[in-house]
Amino acid sequence: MNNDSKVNELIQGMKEVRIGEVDVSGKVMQQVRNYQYRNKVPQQRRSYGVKLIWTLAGALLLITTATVSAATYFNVNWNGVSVKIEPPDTTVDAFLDHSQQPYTQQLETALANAEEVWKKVTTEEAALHYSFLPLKAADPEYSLETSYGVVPQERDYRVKSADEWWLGGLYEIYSWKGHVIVVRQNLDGEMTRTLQDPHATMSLTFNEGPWESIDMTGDSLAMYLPGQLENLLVVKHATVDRKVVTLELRADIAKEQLVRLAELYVNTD
Amino acid sequence: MKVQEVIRRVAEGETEAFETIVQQYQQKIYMFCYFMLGHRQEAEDAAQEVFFKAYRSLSNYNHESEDMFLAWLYRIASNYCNTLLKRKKKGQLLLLLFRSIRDEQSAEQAYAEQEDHRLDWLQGMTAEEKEILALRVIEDKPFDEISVILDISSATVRKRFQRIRLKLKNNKEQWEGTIYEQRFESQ
Repeated sequence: MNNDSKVNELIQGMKEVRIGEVDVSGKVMQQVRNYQYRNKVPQQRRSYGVKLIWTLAGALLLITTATVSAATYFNVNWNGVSVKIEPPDTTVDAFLDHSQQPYTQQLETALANAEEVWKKVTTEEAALHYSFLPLKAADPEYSLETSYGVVPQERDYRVKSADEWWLGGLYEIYSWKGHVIVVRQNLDGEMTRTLQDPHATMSLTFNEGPWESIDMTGDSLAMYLPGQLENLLVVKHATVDRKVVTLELRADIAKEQLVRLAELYVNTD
Repeated sequence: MKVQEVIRRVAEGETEAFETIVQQYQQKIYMFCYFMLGHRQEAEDAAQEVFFKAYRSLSNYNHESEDMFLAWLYRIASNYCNTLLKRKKKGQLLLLLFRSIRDEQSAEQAYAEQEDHRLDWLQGMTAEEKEILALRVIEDKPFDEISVILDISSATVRKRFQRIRLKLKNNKEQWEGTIYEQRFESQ
């Protein structure tokens, strides 16, 4: 018996297995209704895509176009973008970062598991893929250990599920007083379009986590999210050529230190 | 109702419209999960979770084609089953310590397990190889077309197919050996 007929035999065997009918629709819809209730998902919401979102510990950054109905305790207009923080549901701790691995390790694992989708390239090569001038931080106090870009194997690649990480961007990894700081930057296409088009409107909602707004310069919007192992600072910076660059800084250091490094980046623009 | 229409209605707040999607695709996703996990109850639970994940990610789906939507669901199912299989592998050692639990299975479970012995050959396949075989059976499409569903190159599918052939050869020899040994013992 040759190998092909063995494959055919297995396939035939699989076809003959009586699996039976299943109906999970009731259970799924109950789960959906509970989710709707718990998260107070706003009506008329449209996402511009998860590709700019790093789904760290379930913390979701939702870009929306219409007014949200959920209660908000932070609401500000930044360069024409309505920015809100929704209070986290304190009855669940899903938003907390339960990962037991530092971000650098998670990143390496994610890259290794997605070799067919992503490739690591030099920062020079990455610059060919990304249409923005990367922000730079120059301070001898922070020692740049390595830098690289991550680009999709296929130029128009889109993530396939909420569990999949969008790994694209420019990465710079620093050592500072024995800590490792990872900085990722990317162009925020939707916010750039909104910034450049006076008729465009959009809103940006930070939810499912104890996000905290951080005061930075007028050209930057910063949000801080504490984690169990590492903290995250997200900065949206409007550059002089009217583009919005997203900076994500992660490390097991204090909020103030993350903000300080972020300011080094935005002040060089 | 077309998938795009359902997505639009869900986005507008008509949550219940999502049930149409579940009813339309649940059997295929359940079968896929079953071939991946090899267990009916686990497959049912997994199918439920896959649709819930799909619901939460629905706003990210922006293809027009119905086929692409099914492919998208398969990708979610594949990722979820892979995660479960990895966890299962880690828990195998622990399970050995509680072997007696297996002795308490119901007659229905015992029958189901007996029935599923024809899938023994799937043992030893990686999750990636299982998903190719599962899609080959469920969608009844040649391997080349499966590469489209999985959104991987046909070269990768061919490579995996070669590995399946090789493994099946080894598995079958092992399997036949096991049958012989069992018969020998029963004499």
